[in-house]
Amino acid sequence: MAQWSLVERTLYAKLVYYGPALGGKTTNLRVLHHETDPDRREKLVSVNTADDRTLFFDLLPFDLGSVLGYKVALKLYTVPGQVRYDATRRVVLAGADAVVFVADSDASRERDNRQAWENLSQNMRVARLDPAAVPILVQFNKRDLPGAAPEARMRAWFDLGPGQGVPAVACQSEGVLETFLAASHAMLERIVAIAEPQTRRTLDAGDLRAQLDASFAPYLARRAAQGRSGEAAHGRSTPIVLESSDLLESAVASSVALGAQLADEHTRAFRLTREAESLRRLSDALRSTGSSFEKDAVVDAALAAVVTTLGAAGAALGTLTAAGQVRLERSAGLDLTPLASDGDAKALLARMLGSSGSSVVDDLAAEAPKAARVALGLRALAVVPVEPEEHASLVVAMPGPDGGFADTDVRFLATLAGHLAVGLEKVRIHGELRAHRDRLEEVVSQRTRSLRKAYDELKSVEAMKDRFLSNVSHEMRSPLTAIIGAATVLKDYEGSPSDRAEMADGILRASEALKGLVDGMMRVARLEAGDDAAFEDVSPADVVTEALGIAGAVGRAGVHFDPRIATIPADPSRLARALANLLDNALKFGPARELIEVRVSPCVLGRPGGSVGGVAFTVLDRGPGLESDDVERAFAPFEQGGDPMTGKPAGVGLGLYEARAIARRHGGTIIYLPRDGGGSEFRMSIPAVHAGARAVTEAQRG
Amino acid sequence: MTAPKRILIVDDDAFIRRPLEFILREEGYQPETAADADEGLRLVAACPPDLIFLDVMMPGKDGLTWCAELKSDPRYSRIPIILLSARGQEQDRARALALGATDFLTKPYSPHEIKRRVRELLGRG
Repeated sequence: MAQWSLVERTLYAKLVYYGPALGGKTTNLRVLHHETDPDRREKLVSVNTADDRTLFFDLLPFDLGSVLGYKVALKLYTVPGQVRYDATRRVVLAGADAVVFVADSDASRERDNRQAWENLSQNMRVARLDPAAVPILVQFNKRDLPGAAPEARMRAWFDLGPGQGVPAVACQSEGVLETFLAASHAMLERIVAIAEPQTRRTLDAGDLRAQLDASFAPYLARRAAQGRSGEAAHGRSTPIVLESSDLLESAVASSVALGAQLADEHTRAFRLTREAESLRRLSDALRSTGSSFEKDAVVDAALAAVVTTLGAAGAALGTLTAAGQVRLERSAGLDLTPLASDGDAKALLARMLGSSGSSVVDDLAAEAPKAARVALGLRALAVVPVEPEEHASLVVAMPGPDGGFADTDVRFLATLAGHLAVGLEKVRIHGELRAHRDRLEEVVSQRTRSLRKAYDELKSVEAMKDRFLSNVSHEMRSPLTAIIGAATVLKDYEGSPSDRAEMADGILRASEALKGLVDGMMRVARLEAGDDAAFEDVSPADVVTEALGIAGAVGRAGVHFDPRIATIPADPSRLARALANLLDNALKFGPARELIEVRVSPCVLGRPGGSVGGVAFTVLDRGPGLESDDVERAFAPFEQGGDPMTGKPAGVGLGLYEARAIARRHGGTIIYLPRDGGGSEFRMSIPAVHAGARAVTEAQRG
Repeated sequence: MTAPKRILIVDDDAFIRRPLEFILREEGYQPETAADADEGLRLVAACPPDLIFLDVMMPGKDGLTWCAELKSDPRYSRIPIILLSARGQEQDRARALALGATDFLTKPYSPHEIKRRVRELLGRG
């Protein structure tokens, strides 16, 4: 609020520019700074982030000359617009004599404007500024925007009367001086209205207004002469702008700057060096704790400042939890925490912490006799809000019998509480930044892990390809050996007719083996290329007959048909191939002289939208079976069962892979089960309804 | 005139055994054949041969294992063994030679190469 210094014969007044982030508050101050002469104004102090956002506040002191022997000094502040800096906004707003609300005309920012407006009225309540008594002038900035909302609509946003609101294009200096003068007029009226009677007698609002206008008339005239062709004002201005890309350093710097500024004001206004020193100490403490940004250190610094400055018995940070519980922490001086457990004191504290403003109990003994007398021997108690929305307050106790709180003490506590709130805000923002950094680190390490996984998968595909080439070459080497051997005999040796017939037969058999190998690879290649299957109604019995023929299993398999089975829609040659591959494995791995078993029976297949009936082809052998770890590997392409070095039967490793791909093409599955009594059981289930497009897609994917 | 040198061929694939057997007989040796290690051991025990061709990958006991067993048996350790493998990996060859095999040939081999190796080891049949 305005201060009259009788010693310096100076009137100090405070004008605060409020509004949504990036709305043009700082631009307003820069223009004023630029358009006025150095003998009228002091340096513009601005603490910005690299992306041109006000981090803390801007300060532009003005000397308006003297009115009836009084110097009139104006201090113009901006608040940071970003939502997170609420405590800072409250501190800057405290004691304002008038407010300029810089609204953004961008129609798409209606919400931001309304939020900032609501935030202003909330913070005015917290700062005990009566909206009816503190003039608020609204500036409609950025009128030059193509998407600017009509002024009438903007008035509706802020519930303004007709004609209210000053249009402006701050970046081109338009409307800035006008806004400032209109706000200053209202402010001066108000200052005179609430001044002490004897001061009011010597001053007249009209005189002050004339003085103000006279001070700024040259600038208005200059602007009028320049016309509307003026260049962007802040392009030419030379304010003192503290730019820092390091948000945290700026936060500390601005904390200290505000502390010093507040200390200065208080020194001049109240001559309370005690308070000034305390605030300086707190500034220093904040600066020294700034590097760690520990909440406890900031709170302790503030509490220590309270105890030493006021000579308090003790100070603590008190909170009222959502459940109505009183919590006291970080006591300095006397430990105040027992107050939170004493019945009377607890109820008293709950009441004081629950109220939105500061409160003082002068005679604690009357309110909470036991706590005052027995536990602590305290005389008076003050509770001053720090973070009102959190119900967090400074709790300060004075010792008996003479201790008490003077008005200046409570004002000092309120200032200090505001400063502490700013400190806590910095701590919180720092925590958010740290959490953000931690999240980034987590994201980076996740990326690293998934890259590593992709790399490992690639490597395993590479290894699979190597195994495949090795297997294929092995499968080709044996028949080639037979062919070269027999052909050499036929070419270089006579031999009997039966010998020659035997050699020719060997060449033929080995060639057929090679052809089978090439055919199998081609089939898998076509299957993987996803060419169309030829579906028709197929009898499972025909499938089994054909598969036995392909696998050479006629007479080596016992076949059991369930009489209930019906036809299924299938690509008959492919389905027979899939079953043949299962038979082939069973013959290869089962004991040579034991029959393998084939069962054909009805089955049910689970589906996302319910289940469907189908036919299961089950092939059972008495071979070694599969370890559970090996099951998925067995279905992978180019993997062959058994270890070549142990001499177990080997294949090219495509049989199960091909069979499963065919089953999936039919909308079916193949699963492996250990057979009761030893051996393998492979069960291929094929649905009795047409697989349709989905199953085909699945087969391609799978 | 000395008796023809006896050569044992052990391979589970008859179509590989037969041409080799035919050629070695035509070259004046006395080949015998076995389809697995068990059958081979019976022949070796009955009358130790002068040379063994041994397939690495066979059902039952594989060639490398049986080679190691023969090489650790003082009765048979001096019989030269040539391993035949459809796998050409270097580590297989190294393992075979470490087990005491005389040579390690990769399928498909040339019958003339086989003849040359036999002549080196046993002389003309």
